[in-house]
Amino acid sequence: MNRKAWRTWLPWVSLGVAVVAALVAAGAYVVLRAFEPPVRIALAVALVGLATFLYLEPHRVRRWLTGREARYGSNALVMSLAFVGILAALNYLVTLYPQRWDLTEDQRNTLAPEIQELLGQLETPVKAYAFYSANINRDFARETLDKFVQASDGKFTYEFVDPIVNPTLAQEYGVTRDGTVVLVMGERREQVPFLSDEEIANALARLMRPEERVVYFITGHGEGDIETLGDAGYSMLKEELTNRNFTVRTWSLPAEGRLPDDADVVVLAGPQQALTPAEQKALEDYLANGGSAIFLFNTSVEGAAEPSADLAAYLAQNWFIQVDDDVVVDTSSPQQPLIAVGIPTQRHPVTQNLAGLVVLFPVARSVRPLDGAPGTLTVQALVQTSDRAWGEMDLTAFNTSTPQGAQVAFDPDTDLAGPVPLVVVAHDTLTNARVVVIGDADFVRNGFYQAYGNGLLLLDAVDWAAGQENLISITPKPQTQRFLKPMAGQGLALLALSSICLLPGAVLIVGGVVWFRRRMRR
Amino acid sequence: MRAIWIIARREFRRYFTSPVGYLVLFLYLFILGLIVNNSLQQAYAFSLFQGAPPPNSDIIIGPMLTLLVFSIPALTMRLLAGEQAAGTLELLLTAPVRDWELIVGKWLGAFLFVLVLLALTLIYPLALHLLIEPGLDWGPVISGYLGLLLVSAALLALGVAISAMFRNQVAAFAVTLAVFLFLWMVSSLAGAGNPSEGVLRYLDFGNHFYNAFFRGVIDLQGIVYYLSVTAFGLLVGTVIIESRRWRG
Repeated sequence: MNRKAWRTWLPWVSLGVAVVAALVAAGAYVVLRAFEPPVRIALAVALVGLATFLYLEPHRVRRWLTGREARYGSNALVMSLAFVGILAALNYLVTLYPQRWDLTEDQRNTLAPEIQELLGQLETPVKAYAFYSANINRDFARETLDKFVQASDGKFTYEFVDPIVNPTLAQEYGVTRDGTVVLVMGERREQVPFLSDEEIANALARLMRPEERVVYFITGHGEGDIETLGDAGYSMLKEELTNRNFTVRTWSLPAEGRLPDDADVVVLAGPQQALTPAEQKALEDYLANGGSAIFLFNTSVEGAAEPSADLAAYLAQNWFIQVDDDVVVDTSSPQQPLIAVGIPTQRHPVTQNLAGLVVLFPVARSVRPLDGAPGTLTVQALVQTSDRAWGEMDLTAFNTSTPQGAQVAFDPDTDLAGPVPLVVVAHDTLTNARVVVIGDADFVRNGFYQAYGNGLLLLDAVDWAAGQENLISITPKPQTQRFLKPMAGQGLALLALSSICLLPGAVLIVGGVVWFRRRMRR
Repeated sequence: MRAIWIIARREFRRYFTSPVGYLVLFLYLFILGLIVNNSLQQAYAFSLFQGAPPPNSDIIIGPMLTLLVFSIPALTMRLLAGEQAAGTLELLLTAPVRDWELIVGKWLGAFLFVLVLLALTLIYPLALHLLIEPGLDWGPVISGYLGLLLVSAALLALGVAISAMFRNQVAAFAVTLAVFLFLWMVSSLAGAGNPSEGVLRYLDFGNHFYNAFFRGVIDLQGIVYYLSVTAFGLLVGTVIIESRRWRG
């Protein structure tokens, strides 16, 4: 009796155990990705269970294998498998030969021909790591990067990395901003802080044509130090320039007496002592030979000695840039009127990534473009304050040591009325020399570096001065401008009524009529 | 072939004589109307600010896929489960109709109904076209509707197959919805760097739609994928019906 009882349940229990063990084995293999002991043990249990079942129920197995069900069942199975195999092969084929047609009016999903050409020249594979935390939307990044993947013939791939989940990788790649994309080609990498087709294409071009780009920070006159880590240092600027594949060095102008030959850009950041006439001559020669320089001038009330009258005269006469000896007072921030809030005004490579970000300049002087520049020289003011600021020419209030502090007011006769320009760039198209003059040297010190667009402005200024802003020039696509036709409150209410009620209501009425007529007929 | 057409026509008509068809139509259009109206009102509120982009066809086509995922199980649940529950499937199986003709006919009937549903929603892009100067970009509308047709074909085929497995319509509805949701979320199962990620992302039916058709791109890969799923669903449905003949 007992013997018979176990004969009935044991086969099924062992079959059940076999199925469960097989599932466990599959699950363990998915997790471990190797044929390790847990997988092997589960597989062994599954085999033992199956063998027990086969041994105890041989008749049933034979019937399953040879009966009517088996014959039809196996026919259906083979046919289905063949069918699924054909479908799988078809799907695999189209992944090998993708075909896409962009129906949008402005070819929104298609890369510019210049970028497609660039991707065609790509020989070494490039992988993009998109550092996006869960806080920001990935749709635009995916859409943009997908275009590159599709046009690259498998050479360009990308992967999203959550910098909060995986901080080590973010640190390794020097990512400090959420939403940064890093392109990696072999050992070299290139950061794309703001995503667009053009930015990725330019980063790609820099990866494909590696050459050393050197930025020199001039020292010897009490300039800010690029190695100092505290609030007053420029170490964050150095780090981000390095992330953009710049080689950053210092150059002692008093000791060398000339400027370096391999410099792509030299930066004079807030000198406390004046340059000697010989040093200024060296600087003028460097610029005359097509060099590029970025000048960051503090105000004289902060103890800055530059620009001296000589340097100011040189900049005004040769570059048509006027550096005023004033202090910008900005009442748009009433608590801190000496922090000038700079707003990008012109579309230019230096400001194109600011995208609505302001730049904060703590204690700034005005820098203005002058009229009368020759046709070969383009001079543009790129960042200026709002019209609630002015350039205060009377500096006595700032020099006083009384604890009450400065009492200043706008005087239309002597002061410079706002909006006050703060950043001016000049480009000599004959020699390709480029000059950037900014009326403050403190806005990129570590203490202010991460405020709004501060760091970005100088990074892009260095890129532009180094002539790196557009390695590939892309003809801008024509964009169809669309706008909503104006509509008043009544129109909106009508719109709501018709879109929510009209069509669904009609369906409801027709449905009701049909239902009613059928009921009547019964 | 004639049999397919006869079955399809009968199924198509039945949607318009039963409350389910009207209910699905009503809910679909009502919810879509609410969403579109909401987006439009928001767009008008934002248009006071300079530089706000006007709404495009995304506000209409975006929610339509989600609504289809929830509507299609209601349309397919009855197709074969109802016949089994009423005992009319045996009758059909003895008629001179091949199993695959039965399945394809049922699927085609439901597909024609979805065609009507999608055609009715075209009023929204038309209305938006009138509200925008100089009119809507029709490319994404065309590709979006093509994508929706393909998705519908695929989902309906799966729904028909699942309906063939059940006698109970509610069970068919629940399982169909569960399968759709699984296929929709399948790519999120794949962690980064997982070797199966590519395959799982490929199986995700939302991906093919949102990464191509929705953006205004007609993608051969998506077309082949959706047609494959359609063929697969119809095959499974046929095998299940066929198996009734020889199952003990």
